[in-house]
Amino acid sequence: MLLDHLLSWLIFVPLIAGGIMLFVPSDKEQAFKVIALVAMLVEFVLTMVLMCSFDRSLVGYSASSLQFAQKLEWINLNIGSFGSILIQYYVAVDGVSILMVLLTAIVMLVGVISSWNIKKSVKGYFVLYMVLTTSVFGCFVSIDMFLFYLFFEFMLLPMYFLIGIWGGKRREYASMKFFIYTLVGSLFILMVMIGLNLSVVEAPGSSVHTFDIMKMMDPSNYLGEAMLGFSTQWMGVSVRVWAFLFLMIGFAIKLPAVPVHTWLPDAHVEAPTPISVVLAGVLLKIGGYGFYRIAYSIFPESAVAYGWYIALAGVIAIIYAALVAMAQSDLKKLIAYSSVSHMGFVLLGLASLTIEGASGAMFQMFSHGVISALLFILVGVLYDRTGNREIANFSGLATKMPYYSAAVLVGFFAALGLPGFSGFIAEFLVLIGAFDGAVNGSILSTWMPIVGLVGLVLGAAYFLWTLQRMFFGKFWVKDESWQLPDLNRREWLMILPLVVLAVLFGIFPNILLDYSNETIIGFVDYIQSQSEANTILIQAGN
Amino acid sequence: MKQSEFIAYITTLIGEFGYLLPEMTLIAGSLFLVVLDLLYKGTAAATVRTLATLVVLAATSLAIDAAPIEGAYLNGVLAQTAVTPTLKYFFVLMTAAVLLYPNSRVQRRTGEYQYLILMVLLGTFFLIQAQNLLLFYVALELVSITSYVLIAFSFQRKGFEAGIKYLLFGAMSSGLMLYGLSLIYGLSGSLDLALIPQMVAQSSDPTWLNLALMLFFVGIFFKLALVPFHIWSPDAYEAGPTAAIALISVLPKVAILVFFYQFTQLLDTTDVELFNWQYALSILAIGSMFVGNLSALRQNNAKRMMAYSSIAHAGTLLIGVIVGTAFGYEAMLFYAVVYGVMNVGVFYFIDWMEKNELENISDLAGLGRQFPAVGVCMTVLLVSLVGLPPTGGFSAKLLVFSSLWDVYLQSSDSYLLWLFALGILNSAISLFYYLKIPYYLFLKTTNSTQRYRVGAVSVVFLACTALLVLAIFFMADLLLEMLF
Amino acid sequence: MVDLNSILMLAILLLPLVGGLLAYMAGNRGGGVTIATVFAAVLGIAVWSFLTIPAGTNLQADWIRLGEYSFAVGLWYDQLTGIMVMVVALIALLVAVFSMEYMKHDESRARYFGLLGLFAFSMYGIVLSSNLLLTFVFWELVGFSSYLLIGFWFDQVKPPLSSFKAFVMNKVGDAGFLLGIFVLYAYFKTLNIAELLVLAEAGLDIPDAMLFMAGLGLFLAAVGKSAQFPLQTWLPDAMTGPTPVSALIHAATMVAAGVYLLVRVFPLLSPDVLQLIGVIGGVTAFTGAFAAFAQNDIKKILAYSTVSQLGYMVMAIGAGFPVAAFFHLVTHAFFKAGLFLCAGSIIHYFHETNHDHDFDAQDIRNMGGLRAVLPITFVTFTICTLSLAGIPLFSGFLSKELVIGGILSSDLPSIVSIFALVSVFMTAAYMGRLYFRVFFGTQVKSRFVENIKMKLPLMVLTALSFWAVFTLNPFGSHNGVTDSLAQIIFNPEMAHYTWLPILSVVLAVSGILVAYLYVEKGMLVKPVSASKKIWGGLSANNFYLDYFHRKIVAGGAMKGASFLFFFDKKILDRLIDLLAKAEVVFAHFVGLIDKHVVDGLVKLLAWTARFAGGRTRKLQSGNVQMYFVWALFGLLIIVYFLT
Repeated sequence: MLLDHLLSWLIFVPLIAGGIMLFVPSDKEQAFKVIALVAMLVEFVLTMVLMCSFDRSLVGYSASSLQFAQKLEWINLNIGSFGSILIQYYVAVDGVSILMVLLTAIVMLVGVISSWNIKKSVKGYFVLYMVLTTSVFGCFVSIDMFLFYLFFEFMLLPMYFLIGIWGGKRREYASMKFFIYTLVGSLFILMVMIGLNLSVVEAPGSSVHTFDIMKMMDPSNYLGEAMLGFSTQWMGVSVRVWAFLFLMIGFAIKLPAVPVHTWLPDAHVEAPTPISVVLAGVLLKIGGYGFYRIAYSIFPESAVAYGWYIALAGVIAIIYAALVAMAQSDLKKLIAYSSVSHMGFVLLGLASLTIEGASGAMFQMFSHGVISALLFILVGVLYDRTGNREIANFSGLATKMPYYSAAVLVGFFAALGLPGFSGFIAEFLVLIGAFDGAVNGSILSTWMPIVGLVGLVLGAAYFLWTLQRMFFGKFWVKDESWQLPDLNRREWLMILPLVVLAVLFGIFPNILLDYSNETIIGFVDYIQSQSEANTILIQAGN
Repeated sequence: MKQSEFIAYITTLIGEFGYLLPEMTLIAGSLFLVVLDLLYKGTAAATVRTLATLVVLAATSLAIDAAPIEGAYLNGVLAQTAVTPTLKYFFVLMTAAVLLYPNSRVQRRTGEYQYLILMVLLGTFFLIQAQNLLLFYVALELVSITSYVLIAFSFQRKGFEAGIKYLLFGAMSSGLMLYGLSLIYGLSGSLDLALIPQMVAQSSDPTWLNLALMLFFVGIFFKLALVPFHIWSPDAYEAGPTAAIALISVLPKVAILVFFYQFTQLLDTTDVELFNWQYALSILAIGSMFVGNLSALRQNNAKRMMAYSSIAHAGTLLIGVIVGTAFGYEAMLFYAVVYGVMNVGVFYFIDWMEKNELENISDLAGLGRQFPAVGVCMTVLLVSLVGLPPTGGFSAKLLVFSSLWDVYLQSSDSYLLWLFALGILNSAISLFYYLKIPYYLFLKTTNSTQRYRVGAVSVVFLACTALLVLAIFFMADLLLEMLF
Repeated sequence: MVDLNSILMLAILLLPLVGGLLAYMAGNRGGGVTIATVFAAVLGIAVWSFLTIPAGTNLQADWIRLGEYSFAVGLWYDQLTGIMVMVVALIALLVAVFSMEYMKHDESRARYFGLLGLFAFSMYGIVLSSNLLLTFVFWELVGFSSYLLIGFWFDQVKPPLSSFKAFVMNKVGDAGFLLGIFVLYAYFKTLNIAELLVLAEAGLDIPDAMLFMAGLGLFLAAVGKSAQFPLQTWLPDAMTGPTPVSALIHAATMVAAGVYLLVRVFPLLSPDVLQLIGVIGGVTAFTGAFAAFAQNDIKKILAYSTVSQLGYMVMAIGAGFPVAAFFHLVTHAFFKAGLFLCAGSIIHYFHETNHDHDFDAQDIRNMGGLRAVLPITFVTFTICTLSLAGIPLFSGFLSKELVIGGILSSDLPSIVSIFALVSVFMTAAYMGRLYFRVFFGTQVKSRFVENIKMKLPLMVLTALSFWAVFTLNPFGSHNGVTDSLAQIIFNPEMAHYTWLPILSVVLAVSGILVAYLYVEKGMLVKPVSASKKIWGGLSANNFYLDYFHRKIVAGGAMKGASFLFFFDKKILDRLIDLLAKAEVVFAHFVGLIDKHVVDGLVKLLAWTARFAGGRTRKLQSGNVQMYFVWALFGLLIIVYFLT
């Protein structure tokens, strides 16, 4: 019973918790924290149950390889002669999304602990946090594109308020920017979604228009004349290519990829620590996940044909953001840019369409989720004590806060991809996959992973330079009145698990990879074979 | 005509009066209200009148339920379709909601207010059933003239000015429309919608027909406040009583669009070479969306902002007519219903603002923290106006744009694609000003120590509209089934 | 699977890690003893392993499994591993013992000993790994522990800078390593060294350019770790770490890892790469020796000397004689560790006897006459120096002869041979300068007794610098190390040059003689000061390489970074802001049109109308009517355009 509806519980437990909070008087601040914590613990336990009962040996990449599927007819708009538009409540997980669910459970739990010292309107904060959690979980398990889009959009508002109300000085600007950027991105996705819905039916010959992503992957479900792609052209290019491009833009903004990343530094700098943690930890992954689940899966022929450009975008992001990070004077901004750089690996790995590369991209999403959460918590520790994050305002912190500094050191080395941490596995797999793809495939160029390697060097440079400037040397801080006690128990509680996870997955990557392997093999296989089939269809259509 | 035939004819007519039961109820009820006004004076009178009006509306609903449903009647002058009763219910509900607005200063004044409101309702009833251009014209005038008076009903200088402006504009558009109608009559020899296509087919030269249609259309565009015939609306909206504005920003527009859709369907059945009216309408729709949204961006006055917003929404609604398929029609009506609900909610809030002598959006700073329930409801409504999930506004936009995309796929006229893309782009633009309200409500803080009061009724009202908007999203199929 | 041999290998690998952890937990008091005990145990196991484990024993496990593909890791044992493990174990033990005395006043000794454990673990990992991936993992971990040890005194200004620099430079090499791995994996789908070597023997099926790239990548790894030109500048800076660490990591073991790697993968290196390796090695040997002249810091001199000697090893590989390179690695490990520990002993002496804060305990200009107070150190230093200079009867002579012989008999450009020979002279000369400056003359008087914990390691290392440890024939080209490696590593016969030992001894002796005459006797002052004028700056600054790195590479990167940040903030972000702003401006514009232009037109029309209609209608505002006119006008325009 529980297992059948496990995913629904995952989605709705936070919402229920949020509902309960509404009935608690707003002056009982502790109650909200406790409810939130309990809800997230329940989520975590549910995720563990999910992980344990997941069949890791299920092969393939299709509707039948999804697990814990729950499919309900939700909205069936019957529109006369046109047919009907069917929106399903269709949730399921495969080997990749289950890891994203795990990541979400971890990061959201840590986020609650990190929210413990929120002071301003606690009720509102936690209610929004719960809503946000629901939509993130929802995003990762939706197989119906409408449902996905719903959760995707639904994240915007809580984030808008969470940054806009609980953020820093320029929070209004940052939250607005975040909102508009992502909204514009999602409008691109919306357009494609409408187009797909009108082109795809439940089964050949049916007139029930569906949003089921799995159905959209099968060319035989596309309507003869009016289909999105295969024979339709716009401005001399197949409409399917346009649709793919639009999806790329939409998800690239979320990811974010250069040059549509400029919302991220602002959003991070202004967001309160827990929201930065959530933003970097899970929200960015939805961009990468969208590439995997929607853009690549539905338009495999474009994924192959334009893989080179996607990889180029990834490489540019890696180098560009690393260089920009080097020039930062604000610690949080530096980490924000490093996020952009790290997410570039996701693009590169996915574009390679090799098993190594795709696994690496997936692993990078997970690993970056854990490590960036750790880094933002670490920045938050300093900010909590001083209200300041300027690198130049600190020196020799290691003498005053040895444990904190040690944690930062570990965090930075994890982020720069030291073997033994999960980041290494991810970057190694991405780059070796990209190189392998370049040598043995036709999508990438060999120089791309090589440039990616330069990114690793730059990563080491800016992280360690920061470490050296802020934590080593003679102790000096700008304002002598700053109190700098070392980590407290709550902070340990957040930092230690994340470090342990980063190390655990760095040493035993197969804890995660065993889940994703079959799915990714199926995925790469599917993309390769389906892209050829679709290309033939398109050529036949013209 | 023989006498017996004549008698039979009259008998049929009288027999078919049963179709008009709702309208009759309305007329009787409104007359009753005027009388009531003479009986009751004083402060309690407003409440009594409001209650009485609600009773009349309830009676009307019952009458709608009782009235026969389908087919043409009264010698083909009027016709009902399956969707007519639903629309009538919708109009009645909207009217009832508007009567509950908190700022009752206006309503206290005289009994004519309620009477006029009912007349608007009556006019819209006829509009959606009209099968004859003359009847359409009369019904339109009924709506228009009552609207002019309603705008001026705040009895302030500004209101009069706006009312007069509106009146003059309306008069001119009526005049143009009348020109058009007379030309159509001259060309076809009939004002019956059903007969026009055959008649038109006989004339070989389409120039005059085009001119006639154009004049007729312009009249309609005026009433719909589409760009560039929108100039009157911001002034009128700003000056009129909010409750009346909430009504006339929805009811007449929807009713006219319903008629307009039927009319344009006829154009498709003739094989005379007409001007490309879909193309022209697309330009107007895009123009309305852009001008509406962009002008709204810089408004600080809430009502003015909503005026521009309604211009933009009229543009979106027009897409249903442009699409011209059954799908498009359904999408348009769906959109209209959602738009009505959102509008009622938002104008209710504006009315509350006026009651508390708040005019500008910037005055709202920090109010959302003070009244979180109101703030949340408003946010839901405004998100719906933007067209984001999980609100009915999103479903509505989704349907409208789906129908547009569908027709684009069939015809592949590139202007439809532009309409599609620019229409979606406009959603993004509208975000800026709609979100200004939650932005001020929640994100801004104020130093002002003034305390406002929000009654439980207001919260319930807003919560109802907000919930409705959410429900429409989560159960969109239910609404669609109810409509058709 | 779990047989004794595997347990031994795993024990060598993991014991130091456990030991490090225990040492850290044992705290300042027990840390040293703990780690020394563990290291001693590892040494025991290492010797035992060497005697019992057969060559080719391996242990393998899948690390990253990706369905049908997987990245395996594993351990491998052969003579090369065995000797290297013993060298590392021995020196690690000696350094640990030495450190107990050297670090006795430091407040965070526990961390120090813990880190020693971590380092040893990583180092054994490199040595034992059967597989390039695992090698890389430990390669980076070695860099990491080195980072922590160089920056051990993090509250001072210089150590953190040096450690930062060391890690980043190493990271450049590591990127190369990864590149090599990528190429090999892309073509052979395996990273197991033994399997790769088998494939190589059969002739590699890979384009030349790619093979070159792989070799280049692996060599770049060695360039980073073994401090070769042009990345060698981190090594002298790394001397800011504790001196025993310099002995262990930056003289004997970690820096030799690059050479060890090249020896391991030697058959994969294409002739083109070997040429490059040889030249780079030669340049490094020469520049290192050259730079050692102008240094005044005792540890820096030794560091440059290490750079130079590493250059020799790399040259030998370039020449095609990996066995010679490895032999030199072994001998160098002992005598250079000995020299560093001597330096440590000297510094320790000054720290113990001179408490003046401004006093630089490492500056040789402050030293002199130390042979009287530090007799054991003096003897050790003498023997290790002679070994380094390549004087017969000492181990350095044996290995250097092999290296130079190899270079001469290879087809490397002759400039490499010249570099090699000139460097022999220079090595002897700068070491002579150091030796005479420090131990002779009469400057120091304070009485001092060397501690047994320091003496013992020195004596052991001295003993290991004699020829007899390796072979009975002090001039023979065969010895224990080379013979045991001959079975597993390709080792071509090199040509014998009877003049070569004579020449090199003459060069070395004359180098020492020049130093003696200059430092002790005050002769040759003129030519030396003349050459100082010309070469001094170049030597002191190591050919301004550091300057180049700092200004051109790092500065350039920072410039680029700042520019990109500027671009990001001012252009890209502004552009997107601008889009939003443009929208608002456009909105204003539309608003303006809506209000004023329309209004203006209306007014214009009103004016025209008034003008036309005379002054009869003066009462009306005219506004609304003019709206009509405008609207009609608009209608007419539409009519015009549409029909």
